[in-house]
Amino acid sequence: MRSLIFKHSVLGLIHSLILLLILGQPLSAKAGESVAELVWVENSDSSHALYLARYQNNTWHKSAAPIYTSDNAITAPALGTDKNGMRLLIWTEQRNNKFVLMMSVRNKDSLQSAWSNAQQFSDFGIENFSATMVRDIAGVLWVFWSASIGGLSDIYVSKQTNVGWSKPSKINDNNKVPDSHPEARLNEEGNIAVSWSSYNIQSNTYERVHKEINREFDAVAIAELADKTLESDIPIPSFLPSSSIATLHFPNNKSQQSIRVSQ
Amino acid sequence: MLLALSSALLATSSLANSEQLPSVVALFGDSISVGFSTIDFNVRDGGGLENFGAPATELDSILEESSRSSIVVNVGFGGTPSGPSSNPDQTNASINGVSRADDDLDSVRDFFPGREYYALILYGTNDLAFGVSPSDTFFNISLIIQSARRQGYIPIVGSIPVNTVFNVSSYNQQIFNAAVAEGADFVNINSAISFDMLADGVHPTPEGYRLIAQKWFDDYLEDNISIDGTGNPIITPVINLLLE
Repeated sequence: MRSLIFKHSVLGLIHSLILLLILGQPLSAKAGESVAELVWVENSDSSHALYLARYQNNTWHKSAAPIYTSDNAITAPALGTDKNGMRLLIWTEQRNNKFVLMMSVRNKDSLQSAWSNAQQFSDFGIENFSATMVRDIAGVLWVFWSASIGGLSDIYVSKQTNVGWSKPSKINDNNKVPDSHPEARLNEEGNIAVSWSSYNIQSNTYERVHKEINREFDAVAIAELADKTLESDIPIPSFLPSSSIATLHFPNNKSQQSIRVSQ
Repeated sequence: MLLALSSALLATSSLANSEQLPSVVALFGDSISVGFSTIDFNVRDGGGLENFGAPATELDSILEESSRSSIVVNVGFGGTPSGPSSNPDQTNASINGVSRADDDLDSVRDFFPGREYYALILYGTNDLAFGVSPSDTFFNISLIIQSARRQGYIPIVGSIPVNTVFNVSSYNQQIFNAAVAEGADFVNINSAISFDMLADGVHPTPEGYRLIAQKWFDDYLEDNISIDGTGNPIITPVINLLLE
């Protein structure tokens, strides 16, 4: 009996070691690639800037210059990476009394390569907020955000296509409460699991609502999704301003690429 | 008749005691209710303390100088938006105006006996930075008004002051809409101060806080909190009863 337990223990240990070898690499980052990236907003007087930092060799490296500046207020930046390594940066920008989603892309994973000129990602309705992204099994980016077309906000999604982005489609049910602050990740079956904040009239509280986006992928093994680096694995840099919402981005994480963090 | 009179006297005695209590004014909002720039920025929580922070002390002085018996309580919480936000700390810890309104206002009532309770609601300055849209702010302010009423307060809603981070007009329009939709009184705090009264682009200077307190008083409290010694709460009800 004892030897059987020992045998199982040894087998378990070997199994664990194999899993560790396969999955335990914190990331499949190639040399020169960043393990994680951080994007945030800094305000000074009436100027607003987006900054990027990269985590390499256990150190954060902040970009010397902002990657975008504007006289307009900007907030809630989100960062994603598609299958070709293209970085997509999306943020909310105040344009008079409208709040639009702006975007910029960078094609190479290098600090030296330039971000494209900012352009509008969506001016759907009058308020576009809290964008977040997830990369599906096929390497395609999905952008989720909350938008209001005059009433309370709803959750919308737009998917990367060969020619740009799909038309925004609402994913929450019709209701008379705000739906906002989406988060997205791939679940263990490879489907997109989205959650967002919504007000529950029965309980009189805000709650997280969960939804699985229609399955479009073949079943994938859990192991294929297990290339994960957790938020807790990487320290939040001290240079991140207090009370600033930042997005921590894991380019090579197959499950969840974007997590909101704050100092 | 005698029984009715003694009951009436007991009732009016109780009423008299109630009338002798001060009015309680609760400042319910974010760091601009707490009084950032005049106190340590690490002190986020007004803590339900009486006369804590410039917004409370300034308003208390104005009420006292005008001979209005009152207590001003700081129920501000710095760095909080009106409702859930994209900030993970705010979302997970549920520290926002909506989530704390019932409990924090209830605590004030438990601690400070008063003849009437006023909640001066000043939320929305953190909303843009934390990804809360103006339409969400509308909904959140509506919920805070409902919470205040549920806890026995008269809610008065203020527009948010100017700041250098964003144009507050969209938010103030929705804050006004919420007050109208809920039938609450509205005070245009935004008109009380200008950019040159900001200490750091967001938080008012001491003079700015004084002007905000004056605005609350001029536009609402002066007409609604009675001056000490006016009226006689005992005699009038008894005479009315004797005349019946």
